[in-house]
Formats: sequence, C-alpha cells, structure tokens
Amino acid sequence: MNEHLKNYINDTENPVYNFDLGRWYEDQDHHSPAAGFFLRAADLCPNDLDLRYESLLRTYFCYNRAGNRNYTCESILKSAITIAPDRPEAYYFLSEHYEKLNDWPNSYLFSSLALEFAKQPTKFRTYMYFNGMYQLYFQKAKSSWWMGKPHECRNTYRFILNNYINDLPQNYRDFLQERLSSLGAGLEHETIKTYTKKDCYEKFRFKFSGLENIENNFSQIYQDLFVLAILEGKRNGTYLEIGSAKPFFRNNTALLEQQFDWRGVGIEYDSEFCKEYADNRKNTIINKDALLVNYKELLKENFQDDKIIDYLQLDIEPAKHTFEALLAIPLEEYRFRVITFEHDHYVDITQSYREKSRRYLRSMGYELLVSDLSAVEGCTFEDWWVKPELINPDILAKMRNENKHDSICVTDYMLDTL
Amino acid sequence: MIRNFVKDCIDNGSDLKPLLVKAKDMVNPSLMNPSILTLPNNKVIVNLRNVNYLLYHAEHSLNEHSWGPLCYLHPENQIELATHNILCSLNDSYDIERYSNVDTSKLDVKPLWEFVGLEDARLAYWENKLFLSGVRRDTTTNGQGRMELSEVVEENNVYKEISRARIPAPPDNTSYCEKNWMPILDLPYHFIKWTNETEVVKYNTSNQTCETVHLGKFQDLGTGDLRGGSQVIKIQNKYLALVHETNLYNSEAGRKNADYYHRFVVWDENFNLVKVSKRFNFMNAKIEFSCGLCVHNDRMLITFGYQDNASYLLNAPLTFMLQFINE
Repeated sequence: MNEHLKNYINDTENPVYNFDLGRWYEDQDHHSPAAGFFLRAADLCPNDLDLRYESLLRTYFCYNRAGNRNYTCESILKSAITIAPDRPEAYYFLSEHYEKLNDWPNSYLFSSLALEFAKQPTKFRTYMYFNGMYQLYFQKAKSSWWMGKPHECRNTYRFILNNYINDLPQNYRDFLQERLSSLGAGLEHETIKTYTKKDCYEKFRFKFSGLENIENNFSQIYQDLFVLAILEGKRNGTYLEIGSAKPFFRNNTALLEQQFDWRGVGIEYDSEFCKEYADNRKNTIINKDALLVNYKELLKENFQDDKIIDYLQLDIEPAKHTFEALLAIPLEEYRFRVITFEHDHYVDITQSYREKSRRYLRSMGYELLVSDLSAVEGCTFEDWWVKPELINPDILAKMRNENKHDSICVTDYMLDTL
Repeated sequence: MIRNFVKDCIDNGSDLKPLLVKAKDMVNPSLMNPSILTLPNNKVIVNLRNVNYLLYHAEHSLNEHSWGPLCYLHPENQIELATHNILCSLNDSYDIERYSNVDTSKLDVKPLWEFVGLEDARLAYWENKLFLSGVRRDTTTNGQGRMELSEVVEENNVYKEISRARIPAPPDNTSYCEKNWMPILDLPYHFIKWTNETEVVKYNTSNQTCETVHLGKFQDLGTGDLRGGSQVIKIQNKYLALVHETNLYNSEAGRKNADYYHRFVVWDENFNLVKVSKRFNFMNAKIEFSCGLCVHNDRMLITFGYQDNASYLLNAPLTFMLQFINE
C-alpha cells in the first residue's frame, strides 16, 4: 500500500501524516485531494504554528492551481497572515495573486505590509516558491509603478540592485536588467541638463573662447561643453562618435560640428536615426552595429595618418556592449584627447563594467577626470576621461574634479551653483 | 461507532488503493463517489464521479472559510455543479489499467438547472447491458431530481452513453428529488428506493413506468434515517448493501456542517430487513460516501469517496467482512 496512505490510516489525526499524504496527491497533480489533506493538517495542529502555516500555504497552492477560485485563495492567504503576521511568504503570494488580477492597490498593499512587518523567510518542510525577501521588493516595485509612483518603483529596483543582486536567479536578473534599462533615470525633462546662455553663461565654471556665441547646447549632460572647455574652445577638431542616436537631441557632436567646424564620423545601429542624421548633419554617419566595426580601418579611412583624435564618445547599451566597443578601438595606435564613456552603472546588474572600463583606460594611460556623472541623484552613468599629455596642464588642473570618487550631478561640476 | 473502519480492515488482511486517473485527462479537478462492479467475465470496472468543485471542509473548525466550515467551491465563473463520469477497467491487482470519460454527447441537451450531469452513478449489469444509474437534476428549471438509467457501451476503448431513461417516482411522480436508489444487481431494473421501511421499486423499460413491488414495515433499529448507498448484492441467499446516515447541523455561527456515517444492511430474500451493522466512518472523515460494493473471487470490494475530493477502493477478505457484518 502507498506508504503515505498507510501512515494516514494508522493515525488519521496526525497532522504530519495528513500533510504528507497531501504532498503525495500534489505530486500526482491531483490538487483537490491534496488541498483537502493540507487543510486537514492545518486544522489538526492548533499549537504547531509552523506546520499550520505551511499547510495553509500549500492549500493555497492547490486552489490556485485548480484555478478560478480567487476569493478562496485570498481567504486562505489572509488566514495564514493572521496566524503568522511576521512571516513574509503569505504576503508575497497574496501580492503576486493580486498582481495577476491587475489589482495593483492590493498587490502594493501586501508587499508593503510584508516589508514593514515580516522578518526573514520561514524554514519549511517543503519547497515553497519563496526564495528571499527580494521577491517582495520586486512585487513592491512592480505594483508601485501601477500605483502612480514611478520614483518609488525606480528606487526599489535600484535598491534590489544594490542589496540583492547576488541573490537573484537568472530570470530575476534578466527582468531587473530589462526594467532598470527601460525605466532609465526618470522622465526626459528630469534627465537632461541643458545649457542656455541666458541662464548658465555667468555660472559656467570653465569658460572658453567661443562660449559667448553658444545660445544653447545639445548634449544630455554638458558633454559637448566639457569637450570644448578642456580643449579651450578648439576649432576644426576631430571625433569618433560611437552610438550617435539623433542628430541634435542629446547629441554630443552637433555643437562641435555646427559651431566649431569639427569633422568626424558617427556609428549608429538604428537606421531611422541614421537617416535623420544624414539628412541634417554635415559629417558622416555609418549605419552599423558598433561591435562589428573594424575600427582600425575606419580610423585610417577617416583620419588618414592623424593618430591623435580629439574626442571619442562611447554610448551604446547595455554597458557590456559599450565596454566591448571600447576594447575594439586600437588605443595603442590612436590617442584620444577626451573620452566620454557611458558605463550605465546605475542599470548595470553585473555592476562590473564601470570598474572594467576604468582599469582598461587607466592601463592605456588615460586619466579619469570626472567620474560617475549623472543628471539625477543616484543615477550615475558616465565617466569623463582625458589623455593628460595631450591637454593643457593648466586647464587640466582647473578642471580636475577634486571629489572624484563621489558621484556628481553634472550641473554641480559645470556650473557655479552657489 | 467505528471511526476508522479501514484500519480494522487493513489489520485483518485488507488493502486500500487510491483511485486515480491522470489529472490531464480529467475534465474537472475532483474524483469522488466511485462505484464498482464485477462483470460476468469476472473483470472489475469502476466508475468515478468527476466534479468541478473542491470541497473546503475545516473539519475541526480551526481554519474555517469565511463562508463557513463546509463549502463547495466552484470555479467563480461557473455557477453550475458539473459532473462527468469516468469509467475504468481494473487489472487483477485492482489497479486502473485503462479508462475513458463517458461520452454523453449523443444524448445531452441544454441543461435547465445548475446541477449538471449524472450524479453518484452506480454500476449495474442487467440483461447483458451495462448501466450507470444515478440522479439527474438538469432537465427542469426547478432542479427536480429523478433517477436515470444510462446504458453505456465500450467502443474503441471509449465508453459511450447510448440510451437514457428518466425513471418516474412511485406512486405519483410528484416528489421533488429522488436519489440514491440502490440497484439490485440480480434483479434487473429493480432498486431499493428506501431502506427502512424497505421499499423496492421496479422500472418497466417497455412502458417507462415505475412501481413499488415491495413495501416493508418500519423497524426501530436505533439508527438515523438510512439513506441509499451502494448497489444491492446477493450473497449467501441474502441481500447486502452499504447505506449512509447524515447528521446535518449548523455551526455556532449558523453555518452548515455535516457528518456522514455508514452501515451495512442485510435483507432476506423477501427484502425483510434482518440486520444492520455497527455505524462506521471509513477513514475518520466527516464527509464520506459509498456507492460501490461487489464481490470478486474471495474478496469484497468497496469503493468510497472521501471528502468529495478523493476516491478509494477497499479490498477486503470476504470472510472478515461477513464476520463484521454479522457481529
């Protein structure tokens, strides 16, 4: 006879035997009898909180799998919370349950309550589909978005990145990467710091020749003005722009080309952007995957024997690709006076490419002049590098960020905000 | 009162098997109230009632549903209580070796009430025909229940219902709900309609009438109402069946609850009630229900449902069972 059934018959009031027989039925995908025996187990152990709690959760699993009994599922999980309000699992399943129903207020409520009141996960007899508190943070992040709380959503995902990244299984890592990338730093107007002569000229810390003629710039966070400032308003400079995107909006070379007569070449994967770029800009744009470009040939073709190029922009996504593009550029043969490297640390779930890029660029003789730039607090995404021997030392000294190990909002660096 | 009759049986040479088919082959989630029959070729078959509800029963009232300790939980988008039947062939070890859902499509009509399908069907084999005999309540708008007799045949390993007869209730067919009539396996189309006072009825297939052919006297046996259960089988010149009693009550909060008990009942050849056994539960659950009883070789086979969500086959030595019944 089936061992679990035999044990049950020998002692029908033993909650463990009821539980084990429920597990046996559950293993056969027979969720109705499984639910019955789990509920019986829960009913038979008023003083064994652990088994009662686990039995109720397994009863919920069975009703959930049987399908379309939402009120009962909620009722069982709320009972479980009632008997063990300091345990996280029932809150989590309830939040997940409401998520499936698009009931975001309740999904948000129960994930928030859990994070407020529940302690670390319980030890169970059986696998319970709850692997850590990070799952509750995911629930809270997801539901907060639909509750009209985008900042909380973004911050919660970042909290997971900063505190639980090593606990996450691959599917959660992938989801987190996708969410962080897709959410970015915030709304567009919050993530762009634009220079206008009217508002910023007086406050601009690193004035250079020609600044007085610039009514406004194009870069997201002053990259174009940084390049011009450190090169003292250089005219007829050269650039390699990897990840060009749009011809003007948030573009780092438009100002250089239009007002300072720079020449250069851009690489962009998106064909629509390329078409717009080609229609509106003088300099060359190449529609190609930046990771498939032969940079040695490209640089020779565009800059002939000139081995010093004024500006290199690296900005493709994700951070891994930006780093791989950097490695593909023959830095031992060509030197760049200025490099802006977008490491996207705030959305890099590996949290590794910022350090990798820094190690590599230092090894190639570059100096990290300004690190961890951002437009919004907590969203550091870019480092600015120079080749010191190719820069005026006086300017270099003036523009070195004294507090280079801390992240910095670009306006605090470029403008005198006091 | 015996709370755990199965344990006594196991201790005396019996065996118990869960009756399961693959979950993916089931229309509904719960298998309950099985019936069992030995065919003339000595093969054993079982019918499983497959329902769309899960019974939530907090038997000790510690984790009651907000609707009460005893709830029948349908899918929220289905108001009806839907029953399908699954017919199974057993091998010599009484394991299910093949099965099929009973195909009723030939005779199905649009249900008029919310209990849909043939419920608690008992197996009977009369005049070389296999029947399922149970209650159907979906043919009128008020849920009137009548026993129906469905003939099934096996074609290409699929059981199909090929005829369906609705049996009028004697004497005047005015009652609201008839159920749990117990087919008498050696008397074609005869049923024990009520146990005490014993009423035997006969369905006339030629003119679709039904008449009472025996009406015994009430006997004070010190039992509750004895309600129908298994088929009636003939053994040692007596008739034997399993019947049930119910205790329906309300919790302190006024919500319904129920206890079911079983007894063996013995009649003589003239359907005089001569013996009732001790009252028992099969496996100490409050809701249990048997509608299957047969003899196979030297074993007595009893099938029963447990909490409306599981089905079991108890296979016991005939000698032990007769001894228990006659105690």
